[in-house]
Order: sequence, then structure tokens, then C-alpha cells
Amino acid sequence: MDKAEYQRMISIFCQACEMIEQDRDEFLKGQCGSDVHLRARIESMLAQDAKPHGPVDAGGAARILASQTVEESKSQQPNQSAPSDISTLSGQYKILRLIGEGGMGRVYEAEQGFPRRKVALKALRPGLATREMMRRFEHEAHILGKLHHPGIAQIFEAGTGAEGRTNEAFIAMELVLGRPLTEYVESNALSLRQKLELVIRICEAVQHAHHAASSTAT
Amino acid sequence: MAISEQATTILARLEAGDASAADHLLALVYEELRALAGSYFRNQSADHTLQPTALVHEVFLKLIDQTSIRFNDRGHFFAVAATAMRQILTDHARRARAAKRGGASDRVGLETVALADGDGRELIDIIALDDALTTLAKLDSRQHRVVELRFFGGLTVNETAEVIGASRQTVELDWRAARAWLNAELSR
Repeated sequence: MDKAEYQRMISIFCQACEMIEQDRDEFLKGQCGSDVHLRARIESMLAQDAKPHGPVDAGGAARILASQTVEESKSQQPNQSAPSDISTLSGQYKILRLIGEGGMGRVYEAEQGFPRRKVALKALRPGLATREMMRRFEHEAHILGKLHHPGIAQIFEAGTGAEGRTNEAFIAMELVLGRPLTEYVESNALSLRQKLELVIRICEAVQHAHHAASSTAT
Repeated sequence: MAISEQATTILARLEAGDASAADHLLALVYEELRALAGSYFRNQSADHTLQPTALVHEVFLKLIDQTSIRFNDRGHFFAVAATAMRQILTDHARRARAAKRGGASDRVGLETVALADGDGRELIDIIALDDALTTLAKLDSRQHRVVELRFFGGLTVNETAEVIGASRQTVELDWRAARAWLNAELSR
């Protein structure tokens, strides 16, 4: 179709729009003559025009954007986007399941290839892997590496993915299969004294970490 | 030069009739919108309704020095932003389609978007729409602009009329005809 043909079709369409149903047939016959394609196109446009909603409606981009967002967030569900297993320069980790999720990334239960053991693998969100975030992540790994405390999970390895995935940062650490503190406290109906003793143990671990961090602060 | 200073200068060049300025502004707005839309993609819950108009306004406030802007420049900006929005949505769908072809078998079709409405579900293939709009641009450039502004920019009839410098009636007719033609093309 060229410009002139399009303009003619639009002009016939606009005139037909203004008519009552009964007059349209006669009008279209006169305008389109034996051009059945033109007639079919205009009729299909009139049919679309009569519908209150169609794919193309004012502000329709909002719905596309919203649904792309839905798809995007769906694709971030752990079972769909769980990084396929992570290969690093020093070995392989097989992702087993998602343990938890925070602002900076996710923590997976994973199996290290060698030595074969289960680990907790903390992976920085790929979208967040800016230089600044990588630096903070490295700093965290550096501090964790200095910590030796029964209240703090031991770090095994930190690094980036192997070739092609070097923008994915991760920390592999000791897997501690525990329960959330609040759940533990409630199910054991701990006394106030017992609760405070737990808090003291946590504080000791935090103090240990704090000392290590302040001695490495950059 | 600060990014807002840069964008405001480009807008002034555009106003002065410098055609290459449009491409520069488009690139700038595209990046900003994409970053903004991307942060929505990552952070918003699934049921959150996104308004491209709101995104466009956010970018407008960020990019353009509000004290020096003239009313006409606003129109230019929104025209560019609507084009950028179209590119972002289409690029996103094309990437999703490519990723799906790339192998991940559990991905859902992203390029076809379900639009729920009262009497059933209408499907829109954003890539087909982009193609149809490219055809429309050759057949009737004003209708094409009206659709970009209204569909992708979320502008009202009045705002669209101001931006393209036509009457309200013209915009209404253009919109009605182009909408019918595009919907017919997409349902073929």
C-alpha cells in the first residue's frame, strides 16, 4: 500500500464512521467498487473501531510495561532463574536450593565439587555488580576471612565466576542448618535469662567481627 | 557538563531547528528511561501498575533544568520520550524473544502481552506493533506521531494536540483511524 492508497482508505473509513449502520453498505459499495481487498480492510477497521477495547488503546504502553515487569519478576523466582551451577576458577558449585534473599543478593545451599561438601553460597545480584558493589562485596569477604568465632560462619572462598561470568561475585561459606532465632526462642519457651544469655553470645560474635572490621577498615 | 545541563542545551538546539539534536536527546532519554524502568523491573511487586507517563515525567524532572525550560520545549521532550519508551518496550520484548530462542525452556512468552479487559483477553504482540508503526510512519507520519504520543507517552488528546501543533479534532480523527488500522493489522 502506498501513501495515496492509505489516505484514500482512511478517508473512506472516516466517512463510514459518521454513518449509521444501514447506510454504510451502499456507501462502501460505491467507494470500493470491485476492490474487495480495500473493502475487507475498511470493514475490519470499522469492526475494530466498534470495540471499546483493543490492543492499541491510549496509554496502553502502561500495561505492556506492567506485564514486562511481571515477567521480569517471575523470571527472578529462584526455581526459574537460580543461576545454573556456578563454575569458578577453583572449582564447581552445584546449586541445591535457595536459602534466603536480601537486598544485595541471595544465599543458596550448594554443593562444592572438591572437597565435596555442602556450603552456603552467597551470590551478589547480577544487576548489582557495579564496581562499587563488587568492592564492597570483596571487602566483606576480606573481613569474613579474618574471623574465627563459633558464632560466625566460616568463609571458605570468595571470588567471581569463571570465564564469561566474571561479573558474578560470590562468597562460599560454612553451611549452618539452624532455625531462625525467634522460632527457636518460642518453641523452647525460653526464660528471660536464657534469652539474654543468647543475646550475649550474639553480641560476642558481633564484637569479634567489629574488631576485625575496624582493624581492616580502609 | 551535568547531565541536566546537557539535556537542556540539546533541547534548545532542537528548538533552534538542529535535527541532529533529536538523536542526541533520544539517546540520553533512552538511557535514563531504561535505567528507571529497569529499577522498576527489579524492585516492584508484580501487581504494581506502572505508568510510563510517570516514568517519563520522572526522567523529565531529572534531565531538564526546570528553570530555563520554555513551554514549547516540553512538547519536544515528551515527543522524544514517547519514542524512547517505544524503543525500550520493543527492545525488551526482542531480547526476551531471543533469550527464549536461546534455550532456557521454562521461559514464558514475553513478547506477547496479555491485556485483560472486561470482555476477555486481548493479546498484543509488541514487536508486531512496532513493525506496524514503522509502516504507518511511511503512510501517514502525523498519525504515527499521534500514536506514539498517546500510546507510548500516555499523553491526552489535548496534550498531543499541543505537542504536534494540530487541533484537537485532527488528533481525535488521527487517533481513531490509526487505532482502527493498527488493531486490524494486529488481528490479521
